[in-house]
Amino acid sequence: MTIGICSGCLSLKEIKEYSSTSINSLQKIDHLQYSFNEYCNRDCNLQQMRKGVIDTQYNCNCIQIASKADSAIWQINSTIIAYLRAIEQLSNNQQFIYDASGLSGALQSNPLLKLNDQQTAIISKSGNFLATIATSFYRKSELKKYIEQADPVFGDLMDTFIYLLNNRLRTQLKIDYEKHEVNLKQQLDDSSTGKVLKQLIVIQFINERKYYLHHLSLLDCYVSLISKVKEGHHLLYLQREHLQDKSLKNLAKRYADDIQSLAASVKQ
Amino acid sequence: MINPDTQDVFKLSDYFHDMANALGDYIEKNRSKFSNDQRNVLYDMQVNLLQFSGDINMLGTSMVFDDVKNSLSELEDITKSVKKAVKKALAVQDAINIATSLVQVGTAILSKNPKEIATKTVDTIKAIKMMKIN
Repeated sequence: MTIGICSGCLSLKEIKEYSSTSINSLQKIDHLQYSFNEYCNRDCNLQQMRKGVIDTQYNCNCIQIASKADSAIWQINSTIIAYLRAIEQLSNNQQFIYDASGLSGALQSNPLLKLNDQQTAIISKSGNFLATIATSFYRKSELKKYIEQADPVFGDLMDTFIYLLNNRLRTQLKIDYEKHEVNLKQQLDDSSTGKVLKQLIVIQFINERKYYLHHLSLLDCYVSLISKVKEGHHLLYLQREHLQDKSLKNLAKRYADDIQSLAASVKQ
Repeated sequence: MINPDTQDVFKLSDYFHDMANALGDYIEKNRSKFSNDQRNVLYDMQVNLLQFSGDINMLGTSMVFDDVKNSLSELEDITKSVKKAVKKALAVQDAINIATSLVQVGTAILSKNPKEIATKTVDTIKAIKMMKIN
């Protein structure tokens, strides 16, 4: 006999939902399909093209700076995910299901106790219930403690993470686009460029602009998404004394829903 | 969070970016006044300025890692503590298992069955060992 615990007794479900959707959202960084490495590789292609000669020995070094810049973002992202994963585990209701089948069997076969099936079931259930109450109380108090401890540092890291994507990666993408745009304008303005070539250049410009706007919109979506993750955590922190309140449950659920719908818009 | 030195690096990148855009505006407004060669030189310069801006921006982003090192390790410590707390909470299942085993040992003793006592005692020890593993 496996006894499940009534979820109404606990208010951790919404926190788990918030953590799960936040993890899922943060992992969508891959969907951006743009990074400092991508910039570096595109820049290498552009520089080779501008030289106007085929150079098989061209040295494209993206490890030195671009990979380091990506790694800084990756480190922050993975640390935040690891923390949220731990919070998800601590608030996971499913881990509160205890197998009490052995206990009821043992109680039943104890000749001294002489318990009937019904009595055995009641004792097993109440023993499990007490264990759960104790554990859920422990979990809630632990959650409160960790959310309280983590919120300032979580907020700082999220601010940095958002700044790097919303400001610095966005700038990098803009520079990338502008460089290609200047290169194409230069070719168009060159007196030696013929009409057919000019048309091809215009097509290339249209494609570059499409690439830029597409990645810009992905970046916008992702930044909105992670801003919600940050807001949601701060809400939990502000309401840490009332982890069981219905209003908090609704708010946490709303954040999880918002994050989920925003996450759906971050598509390849 | 981002220290002033790193912020200065980003500012420097933004200055180069602004200068590149200003040069771009200048080329745009005066395009007809330049010779083909002059225009090409100016365009090359604009690309170079953008190139500097991009490289400095990446440099600043890689420097952020040093700025946030303390926060990263702080959140890592909290994560470790949370993981330990999860394990502690799960130990209640072990307590139930051990209590179950003890009841079985008691029952075996009462039934005066030596073989049963030995078996149930071994089970209890196993349950306690399992708890230690967790």
